[in-house]
Amino acid sequence: MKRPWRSLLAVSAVLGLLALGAWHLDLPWDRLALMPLARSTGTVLASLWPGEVEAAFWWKLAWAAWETVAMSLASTAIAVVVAVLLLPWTSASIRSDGACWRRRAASLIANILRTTPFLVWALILVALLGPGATAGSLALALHTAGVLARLYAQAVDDTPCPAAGALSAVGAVPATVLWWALVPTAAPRLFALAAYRWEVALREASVLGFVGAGGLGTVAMIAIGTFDRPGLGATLLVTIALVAAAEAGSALLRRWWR
Amino acid sequence: MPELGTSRRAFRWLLVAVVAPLAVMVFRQAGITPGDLWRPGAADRLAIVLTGLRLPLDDGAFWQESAWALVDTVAIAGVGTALALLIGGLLAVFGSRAVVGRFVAGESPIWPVRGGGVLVRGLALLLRSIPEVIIGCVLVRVLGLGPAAAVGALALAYGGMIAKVWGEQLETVRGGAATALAAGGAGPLAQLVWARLPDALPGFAGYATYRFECAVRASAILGYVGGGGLGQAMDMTFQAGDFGRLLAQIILLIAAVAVVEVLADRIQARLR
Repeated sequence: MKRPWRSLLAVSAVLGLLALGAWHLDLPWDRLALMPLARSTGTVLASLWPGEVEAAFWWKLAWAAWETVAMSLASTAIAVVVAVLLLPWTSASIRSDGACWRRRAASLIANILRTTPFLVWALILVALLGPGATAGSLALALHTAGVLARLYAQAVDDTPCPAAGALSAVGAVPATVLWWALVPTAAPRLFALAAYRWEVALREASVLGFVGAGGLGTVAMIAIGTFDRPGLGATLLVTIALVAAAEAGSALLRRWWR
Repeated sequence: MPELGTSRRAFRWLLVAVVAPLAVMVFRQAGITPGDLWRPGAADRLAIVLTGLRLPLDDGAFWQESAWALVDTVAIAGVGTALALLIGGLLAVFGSRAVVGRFVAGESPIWPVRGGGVLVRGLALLLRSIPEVIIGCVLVRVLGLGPAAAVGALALAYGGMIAKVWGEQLETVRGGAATALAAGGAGPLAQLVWARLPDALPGFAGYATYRFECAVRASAILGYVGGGGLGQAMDMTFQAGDFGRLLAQIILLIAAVAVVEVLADRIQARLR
């Protein structure tokens, strides 16, 4: 810190903006008093308790949970394929002459896919294809493909690969180098990244239904619309359990692969 | 070794035989089959959406409203992240093994302190394992419709995540200064304040900006469950079937996310 007054200025600017934001939002501070807040939270949580939920609703939830898992798996699979196919142009390890504009186009595509939030992709696709799991799966696939394209390029570039040099030296084309040297060498990393993104995709798939794109969120949204509090509680519990299970499962997978 | 070869090949075929039908089931359930992608009437729908796609350029009131909704969204993200930093910071300090565990240079703390650390880490784990939208759903019912629920959801969910990452950063900070202090007889608290926290500060700030970036994106979806801001406005536009306005709001949101991302990248580059 060479210029302490500068960081002081930055910190006070951030704090000032935050105060302005809080004032602008006009938050109901009176409702945040500890005792009334605890009481009302207790009442809400009690009303969400899924004691009176019928068996048919639990079956519907199981179906939606399976749909959520399927959406996350299918979208991650598509994203892995897209990210690997983009590798010849996103990775710096492969030098092909005269492909500069293709390189730029690939990184532009990957950037657009990645920086557009998955929710926005879902909104666009729901508008174009109609509500349902198709729109949600495709939205997740697009966003995850953008993220994985970047991560995969970094992973391949960070993995030392003598075989790639050997193959190029005997005149192999970039696709051969990629498929027979770079990808096998980086495979454990690529797999770990896919497992990590699958976990994130499941998390995202479970809320895609809030914009009408299928999965558990759809059931939650219907429960909210019909003021079905025990139903909403049941849906939220299943979502939490699913996300927790996915986290544990992905950690196990990564340990097993290593 | 021919035997190993055959059994390996057999295993591979078995794997394919199991995985292939599973994959078909998964893709069918996920709605990605040729029949799903080319549904009858899809072309009509596309035509309706695309012909209705006109940016409401002459509607000043709409743009003003949307801009204010965007300000709400950014304010929600900012205030939510700030509260999350507060919650997460407390949880990180009182749950970090560098403060209440065996990582402490010098002697390790007595067992009630270590047990308290385990409890705090458990609370942080609970907070971050619940998706923020779910916390938002519950809080909308406690605090009513509006930004308060979104702020609370961000504060709680991100508090848990910040607790984990900051706690790990406290533990992995190079312990030279802390060890030196411990050798001079300083307790865990003095080590924390005078050695670990100052060393971890740049990492803390970098992660905080990253969380803010995520919060801007998340506060858009929190609007869908009633948390105010641009998300709630987008929900209403979508239900009205006004795709031109929806497109305008999407463009606003993407622009805001892009600006925040560029700013965060700059701050992180400077901190490094």
